[in-house]
Amino acid sequence: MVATACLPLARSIRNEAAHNASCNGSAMSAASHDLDVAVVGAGPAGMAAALRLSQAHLRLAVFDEQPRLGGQLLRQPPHGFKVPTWLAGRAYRQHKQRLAQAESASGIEWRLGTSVWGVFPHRSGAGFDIHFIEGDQSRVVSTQRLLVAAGCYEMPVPMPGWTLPGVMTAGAMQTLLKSQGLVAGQRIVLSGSHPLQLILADQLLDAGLHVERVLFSQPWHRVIEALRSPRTLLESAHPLLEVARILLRLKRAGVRVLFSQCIRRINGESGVEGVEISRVVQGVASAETLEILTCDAVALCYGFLPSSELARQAGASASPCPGGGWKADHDGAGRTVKVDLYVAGETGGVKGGDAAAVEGALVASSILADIGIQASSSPGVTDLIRQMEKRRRFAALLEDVSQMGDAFFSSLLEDRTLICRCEDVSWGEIQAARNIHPTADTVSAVKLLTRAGMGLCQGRHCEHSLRRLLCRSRTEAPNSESAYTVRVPIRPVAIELLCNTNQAVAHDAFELERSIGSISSPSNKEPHERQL
Amino acid sequence: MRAFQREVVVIGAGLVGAATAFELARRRMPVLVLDCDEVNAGASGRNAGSLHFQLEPRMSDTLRDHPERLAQLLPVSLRAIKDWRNLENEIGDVGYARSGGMLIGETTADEALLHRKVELENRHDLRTELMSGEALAKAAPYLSSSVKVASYCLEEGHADPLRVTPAYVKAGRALGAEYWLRTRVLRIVQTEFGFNIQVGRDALGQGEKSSTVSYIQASRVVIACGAWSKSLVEQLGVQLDIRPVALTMSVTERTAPLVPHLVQHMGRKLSLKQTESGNLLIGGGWPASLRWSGKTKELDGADTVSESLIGNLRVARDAVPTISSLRLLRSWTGIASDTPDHLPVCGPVPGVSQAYVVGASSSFTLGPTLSKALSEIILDGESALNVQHCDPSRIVIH
Repeated sequence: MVATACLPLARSIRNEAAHNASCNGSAMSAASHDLDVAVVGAGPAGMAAALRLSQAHLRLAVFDEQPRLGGQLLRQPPHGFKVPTWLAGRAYRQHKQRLAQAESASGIEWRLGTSVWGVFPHRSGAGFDIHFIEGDQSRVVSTQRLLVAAGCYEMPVPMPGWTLPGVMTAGAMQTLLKSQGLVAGQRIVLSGSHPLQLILADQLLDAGLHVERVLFSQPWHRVIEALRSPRTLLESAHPLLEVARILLRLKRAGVRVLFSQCIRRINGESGVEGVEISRVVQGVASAETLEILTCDAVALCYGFLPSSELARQAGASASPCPGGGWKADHDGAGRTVKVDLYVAGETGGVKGGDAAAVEGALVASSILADIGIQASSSPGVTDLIRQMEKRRRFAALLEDVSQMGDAFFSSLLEDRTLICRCEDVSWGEIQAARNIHPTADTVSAVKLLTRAGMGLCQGRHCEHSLRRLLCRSRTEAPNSESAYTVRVPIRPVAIELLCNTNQAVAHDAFELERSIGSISSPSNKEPHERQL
Repeated sequence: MRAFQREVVVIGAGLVGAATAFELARRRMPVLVLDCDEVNAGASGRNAGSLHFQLEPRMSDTLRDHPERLAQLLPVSLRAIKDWRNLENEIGDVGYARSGGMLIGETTADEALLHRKVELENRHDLRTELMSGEALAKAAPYLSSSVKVASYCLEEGHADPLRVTPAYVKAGRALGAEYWLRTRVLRIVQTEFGFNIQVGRDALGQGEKSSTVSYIQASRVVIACGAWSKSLVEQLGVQLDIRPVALTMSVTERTAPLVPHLVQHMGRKLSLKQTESGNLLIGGGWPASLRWSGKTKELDGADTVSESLIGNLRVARDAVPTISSLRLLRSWTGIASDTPDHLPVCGPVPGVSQAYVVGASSSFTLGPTLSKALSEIILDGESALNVQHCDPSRIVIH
């Protein structure tokens, strides 16, 4: 086992800046950590980062909740289960290659089927203790550096009926198909603003299902306008051809794809029975019903929110994304404000799977440079930066095309519509609380008044809607807002698993107070933060 | 720059500040409450809401060494029992539940302390009783067999920390109390007319950066800021031994009724209760790590310590084994405060005429009672309830 992060091989090429970085207390205590680098997330970003890091012979481990590699984009069937047409599309080819490489790479310890529930500062003051559930117990591993590549999740969109069984996000419906060839229903309506719904529609047709309708809430001319520049057309040629192919296929299959329309209400008693469709006029869903369709499943697809909870809990700062959610701030190469904490992929802002893979490799280079193994200006890095710029432009284009405004999402709400589905808090209750306490204009203040965000999902469903709704009712710049505070556990964990730990734990609080007597002194804590 | 004039300024919009404002407003005293954050943003809204009238496990050192001092606290606890029973008549729904409380012990040492405690309490009219064996198993079948003994107090229970302070604020406002929230006290200077309080006020809806500075002339000032009271009292030139205590609290998912009582542990520290909504709240005084920020090392918050969280959950599981299958939703921290003798403060700031300080220990359970007593001290010169032993002069650092 390697005892220190500064390998003999590395010393000769270590540049001055990296030397300084690693001597600020972290390299000194390397021997006291179990790992040099821990990566959380085995999706495109995490895999790409791990592949690059593995070449440097580091003590490296990758954690992921799924039993197999690939993340959501390359969601694999369970062991011993085969889906014959698994990710047949051309868009997946490169990712599948990387997956195969990662699966056979040496020097990476895969901790799959684990769930990281918290990150705490290591006792040495440098690095982190990673707490995770593996099997039936909670374990701790210490690491010098931590890379969070936790991906993103789909934006849940409250509207009347959105909590009925049969209503899901496009990605969830895809996951069922990808991982086990399961179908969500027989007659499906897709509604949203993100092009992912075209890919889903294509996959649903592959599976022999009946797609009733695909609705885009934005006007068609917005798509055309976004694509006007020749450079955009050129750079986005592949995905655009794919879109054209799918549109043609849908047309042939008799599936209507309509713009400036959306599902305004989902009806049903114990499950989806039908939807009411409205026009979208000047960015707002009209109250008037245009059409009623019978269906048994609905996929909503309005975009993605970064999964930044773990990075934030570990100490990263975050900024609100225009489309909702919070992205962990970084310096463009993955370094967060917290020294030794890095982010890659969607955790730092949603850019898509291709961009995530490039960024994973780029951030791995930052880590290697900070350790002192690789110069940050090496040719490979320059190329990654260039690729990243191109991907960012494409991500910006997607955002331009697909993002709906606050007014749109508000227009889907009725007083009875639940905003927080875990604690059953309706839009009407939130408004009533705001009327009594007009200064409560942050999500956290409204949470304390209404319980919105206190349930099982800890605000993943409601925070972005709540924030959007509060934004509309005040003039405050979005930058000065606060998010729900992220707390451990990052995922709900059974108490039994937390109690069953390999960590030494005091028998009583008096004993713990004696052993950490200095816990309350102002001098014992210097925040390890850097300017971005 | 603007100047304002108010009769009484209360600093702190937590339970104690809001309750004091309510009591003063009730007696037609014009009162303005200031807080640098929202209502209930500190310990008042973050604690687990236990109403524990039995002497607390954290007081066990005082129980051993100075039982007579703890005995002085018992009349305040007895009054607090009455005050909580009546509170919802005064300010509306606060989620008050008088469910009874079990202070449990697992070892012979715990048992000895509990004996001593119950004896002292009964001598001072707080009705508690020791239970063990079959009687205990019948009264609290959810307890583990490792629990040998418990002292039971019928009056204990809980209230909802998210409802108590807002209810006081609402009731106080209806009587004319004013609240300036997101208003930070920058400086307090004693003048010949009272106090000159310089505040930075966030213009509503403009974010933190555009705060405007105002001055408030107040005849009297009440400091009710929990752990932050120490630094505010310091501005008046007095050092009080009020210590910040960072604590860990956790909440589980909802479940069917399981634990009707407030459960506390004498020897290991625990508080456990089930709320109306079915969640179990777990706390009891396990430490968190205080965070100090900026050049001035201002108390900024507290971070969860994993050993503390897990230790706390283990005590909870050891006491009530069935909770082990429940999922933990969230663990958070709050900054409470304490004094060397674990008794609260309530009274004038020593040597500073017309300045008062209240709170600092047991402020949730005793908050309504102490606030009432302080309002009487301010308006009548003394309180009907004897709170001499809470006088701040006993904790002055010379």
